[in-house]
Amino acid sequence: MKKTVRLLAAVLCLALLASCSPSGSKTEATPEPTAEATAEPVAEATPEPAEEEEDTEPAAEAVEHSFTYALSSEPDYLDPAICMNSNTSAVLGQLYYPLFRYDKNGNVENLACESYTVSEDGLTYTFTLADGNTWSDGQPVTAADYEFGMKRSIGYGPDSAYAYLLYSNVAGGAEANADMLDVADMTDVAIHALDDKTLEITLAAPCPYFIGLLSNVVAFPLRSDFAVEHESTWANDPSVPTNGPFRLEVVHDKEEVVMVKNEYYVHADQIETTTLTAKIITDPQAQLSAFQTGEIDLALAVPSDVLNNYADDPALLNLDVVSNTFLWMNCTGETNEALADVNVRRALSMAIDREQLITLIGANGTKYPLYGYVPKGIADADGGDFRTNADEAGHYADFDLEQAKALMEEAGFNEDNRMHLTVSYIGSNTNTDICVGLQAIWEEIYVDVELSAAEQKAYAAARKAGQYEVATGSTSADYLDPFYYLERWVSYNQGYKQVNDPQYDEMIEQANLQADSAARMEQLHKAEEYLVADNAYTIPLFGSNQLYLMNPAVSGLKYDPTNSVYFDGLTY
Amino acid sequence: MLKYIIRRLLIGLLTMLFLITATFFLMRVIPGSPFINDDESVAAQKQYEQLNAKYGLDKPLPEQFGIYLKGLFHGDLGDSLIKKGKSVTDIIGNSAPVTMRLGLTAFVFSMLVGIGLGTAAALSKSRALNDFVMLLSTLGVSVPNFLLAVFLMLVFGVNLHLFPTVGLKTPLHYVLPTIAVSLHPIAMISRLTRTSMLEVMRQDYMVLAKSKGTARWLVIVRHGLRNALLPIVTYAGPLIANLLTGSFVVETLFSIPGIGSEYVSSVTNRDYTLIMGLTIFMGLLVIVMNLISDVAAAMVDPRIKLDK
Repeated sequence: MKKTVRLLAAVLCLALLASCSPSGSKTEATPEPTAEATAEPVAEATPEPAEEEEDTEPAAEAVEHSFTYALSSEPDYLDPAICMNSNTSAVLGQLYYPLFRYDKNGNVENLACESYTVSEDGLTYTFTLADGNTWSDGQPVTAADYEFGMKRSIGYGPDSAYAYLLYSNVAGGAEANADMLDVADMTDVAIHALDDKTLEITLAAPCPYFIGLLSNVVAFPLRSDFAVEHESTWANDPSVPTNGPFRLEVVHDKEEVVMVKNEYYVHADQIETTTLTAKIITDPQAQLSAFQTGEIDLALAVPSDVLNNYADDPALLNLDVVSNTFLWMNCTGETNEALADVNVRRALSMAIDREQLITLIGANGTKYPLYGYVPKGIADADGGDFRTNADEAGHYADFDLEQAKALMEEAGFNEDNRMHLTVSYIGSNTNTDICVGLQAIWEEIYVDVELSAAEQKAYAAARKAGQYEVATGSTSADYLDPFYYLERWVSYNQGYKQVNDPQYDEMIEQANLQADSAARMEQLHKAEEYLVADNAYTIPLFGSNQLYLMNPAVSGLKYDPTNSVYFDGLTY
Repeated sequence: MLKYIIRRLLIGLLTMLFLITATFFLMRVIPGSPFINDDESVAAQKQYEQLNAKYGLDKPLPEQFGIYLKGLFHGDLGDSLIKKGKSVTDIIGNSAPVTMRLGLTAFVFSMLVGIGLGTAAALSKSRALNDFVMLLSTLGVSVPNFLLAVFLMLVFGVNLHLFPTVGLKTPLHYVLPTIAVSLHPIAMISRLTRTSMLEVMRQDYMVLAKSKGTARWLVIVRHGLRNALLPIVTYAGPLIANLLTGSFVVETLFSIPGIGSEYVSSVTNRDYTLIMGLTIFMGLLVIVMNLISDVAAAMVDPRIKLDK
């Protein structure tokens, strides 16, 4: 290493020396940069440069293991109540030990909860906590800590984006949220610690996927003697006890979050990692470089071309995550009359050969064709996959160019009377490719497409105000149930009601009233068919995978379809 | 001189007021707002309204401006709208020093290398050296720094494993980003120095100094460089202001937690308070640096009369 640095310095010196020799005598100015050029690299060679690499390549005889992963943006304050992005939860998930967590197939697995019972009417859940759960300062974790964590999230205030998962379901939650109550005043909120090991939650209405919601950060336990209510500045203090596999060591704003093994963690004997570092590296290309230089062991956001460069490399992980890409359609006809016509919408959907579109945008292997609105990765009543089950019975959005043309003709469009359509999207390379692809595809069914790219916030403002005709969209899941996706098209759930169909609203409302899970899923399947196949209120395009690059010397990364990662299983 | 400085400071104050007003209102004209996102669920709609109310964004614009100015005169830049719970002062306080460390390193580096190369090219009769300096200065102004940064990162970081590419932890971390931000100033400085040095070398006083029998290096340093550096001094002010306000591209690529990347992301996020805070900070920096370089130029060259 030293040698190469010297070499570089020598080359620099050479260039500079060559410059002064012909002038005969030495000038005052020239030696200076030479000195600078030599001084810098030599001085820099003194701190052992191999240090970083040593960190990442664990020596066999040492029991100390460090693991470094990259976050694509700075985490917010490490307060579970205000966490609203995957970068913050990628840190919080290591610090806390919740009641439940999703496994990689999207099934709920018990963590701190040993067992639970649900009352006959589906309203009252009684949880029994597992033994040995301990805070990082040695105090036992009680049911009251979970109660406090959940209630604090409910009353936190508008900055808590995911509190809705709790307050919209728990009896008394909505009022407490609206009034931003303190936990002490939340006697009417039906979350109660009956004793140290028992927690009882009563819902306002049955919620078949409620257990999954308790895996969210807003249901994490917190210590009432540390976690100040309605604010978060306490949360980056390493002295705040947590009960997860790791505890906070230090937070360097915008730079890194360093965590160390929590010796009090209930399964501390299974944790091999002693130091866990989250480095903030915004740019995907920079994450890739940092992975290649060995500065990080895991890159969570990398450019999609790694798929080619790492095709057969064990470092590449291609994981299924729940996320769909679709088209918003302004079905009101306010901006483009033709879109109010179901034939036109169905034709637009039918004209798309999704597999071809994926090839066109160079996303083979990272995207898969989606023939319904709900992406893969969400369980059906029979334990299988909701999407796969639906697709086996028949695609809701199959490619059929001839019929698409026929439908357009029926709607009054032809070669002489072409339809004009504006497609809005957030300006990015992928989105541009998708929309240019759509432009070419729809050209054939008498549609002239105009592309309109905007920057993220401007796009959202325009779309929410209904100032669009067709727009690209993408949704990842907060919880894993088809309802999460299908509820988005219910009229009350849209600020600008691009889809306003009482029959659809009714279908969705009915679904959650079904006590039997098979009947409920049946109903949701019907609703999706009505949404996508019968009415083409939205056009699904594809589902996505997530690419990670991970040091092949380490194994045991845990993740779930909501794109959360956990490091408690790492082995070296 | 003092009168001049006071006058410049007063003009600077007016400029700042204009800058604050213009930025405040122009940012609000741009479509989109900090809390808007593509989520349309009931919960998201409710949260959007509550957040706007909490941060006062639902008030009429002039009233919001009044509230902001009032806070500003009390030295309160407010809290970031997007980075929950973090105050703008803290964010600037954390990221500005990082950019400054890199900026000052790059400043010293580009000054030394630029002046060195420029002088050498002017004094040397070597065709090769002259061509090299010209090539470098052409490349320096024409190669965009994101290209250079990626190139340096791939070659010296990924392929040769010579330098780390994430952050600014050790001196070794400074090498690649410093080169990436310095190439452009080096090109400018070396070209300026070369031209100005050639000009100076032709002056009568140089001939006089030489004819008095002064040693060649002494002539060059005392009479040549001193006069030739004037344009550099004027260039140094804006340069240092530019380097201290950070480069979005270089900071993003090398994951440097500085002020340049913060600025761009604050605009993308419509983080109004942070945008205002950073604009004020950078505006002050530019005004002060320009003033300093003008005063410095007057000190180096007695012919420049500031008061006129």
